[in-house]
Amino acid sequence: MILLLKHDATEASIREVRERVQELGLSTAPLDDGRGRALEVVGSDPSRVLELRGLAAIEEILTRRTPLKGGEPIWPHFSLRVLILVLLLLAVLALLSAFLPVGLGDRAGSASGDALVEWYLLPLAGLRAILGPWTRVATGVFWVLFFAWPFLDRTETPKGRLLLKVMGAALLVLLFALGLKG
Amino acid sequence: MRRSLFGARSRVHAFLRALGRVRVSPAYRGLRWTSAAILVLFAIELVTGILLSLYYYPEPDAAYDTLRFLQGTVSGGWYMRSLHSWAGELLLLAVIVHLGHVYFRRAYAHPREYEWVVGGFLLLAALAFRFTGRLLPWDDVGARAARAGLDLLGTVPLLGPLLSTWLRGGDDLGPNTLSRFFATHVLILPWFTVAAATFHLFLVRRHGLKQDAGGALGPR
Repeated sequence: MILLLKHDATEASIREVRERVQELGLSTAPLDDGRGRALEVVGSDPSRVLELRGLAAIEEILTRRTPLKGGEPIWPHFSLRVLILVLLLLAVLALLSAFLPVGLGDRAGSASGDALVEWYLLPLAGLRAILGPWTRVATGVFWVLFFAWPFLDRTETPKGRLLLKVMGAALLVLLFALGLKG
Repeated sequence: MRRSLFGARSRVHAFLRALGRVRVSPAYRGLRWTSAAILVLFAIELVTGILLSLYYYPEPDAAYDTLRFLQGTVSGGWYMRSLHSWAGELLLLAVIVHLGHVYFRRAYAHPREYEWVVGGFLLLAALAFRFTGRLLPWDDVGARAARAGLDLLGTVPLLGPLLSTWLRGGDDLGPNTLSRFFATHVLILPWFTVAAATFHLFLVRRHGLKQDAGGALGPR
């Protein structure tokens, strides 16, 4: 449970809250909210602190499922960071659109020209160049593994996790190599 | 003491205060950033796509002419088309980066398996958006890309040949192909993507991120 105290709570009223918490057989620990107005209630039955509703210094009593550990608050720290990155992204997009505009080729004719494989399909083209008719089997196995992966991965050890990372990196290298082939 | 416009006890203030109590681990900031980038780029695609569709006509010769009109005559038309195209490229890249981030952080671990599954379908939707959109200008480059793509789609087991035949709508690219690509790009995929993304975000909200320190909005 978390006690949120009012901005303008006096020292006397905060002391009263702490004393009443101790009378309930509980204790408080300050949370790092920068203003000393958030207290985590610790004890065998923290929900008893709900009996203190109505005390002058208390603004809210919150339930908590898991304790806070480090990191930065979503608001305003992380939100502002994300906003800046999104604005940078929009700037990149605006500049790309302005200085590398998309053109319009000749009208599509009935005669087929050379195949033009888009970049995201190059690995599949490379795979087909190597495996031929077995491409269907390979892509089927790949997508089944892809969607089933979280249910198959039961790694618990650090070595196992490192192995998974190596496998992921190897797959990226393989896709890149297949793309070059395609 | 400064008073906010909405007052100290407004819902907005309470919501922001609640957000301030939820913490993000530095190790997983990247996941949230790529998610934000994907959402923003998708919104740009929706808006620019709607604006482009005001001029577009999904019939082979007319499609090319409408785009030539848009690029040459409509004020800012070329820019709108470039925004739409580049946002699509960046969106696909962001989805792939996001997927890689989830994999390498093992953010799909129990109980978040279905977020990965839905995310996989969203990746396929992003690929389908790019593929179907490429043919819509009905230019030479788009037609060649569509032919190559439909050919490759036939190599995917089970659904691949069916989808390839249905999308082509004939022996070669023609009016049927364009109308089916257009319907897929403008009607089927957006609705599917919005539904899947909503479900994906619902699951993320329900389970929290693997590392999150919890708090009032943390995982159950």
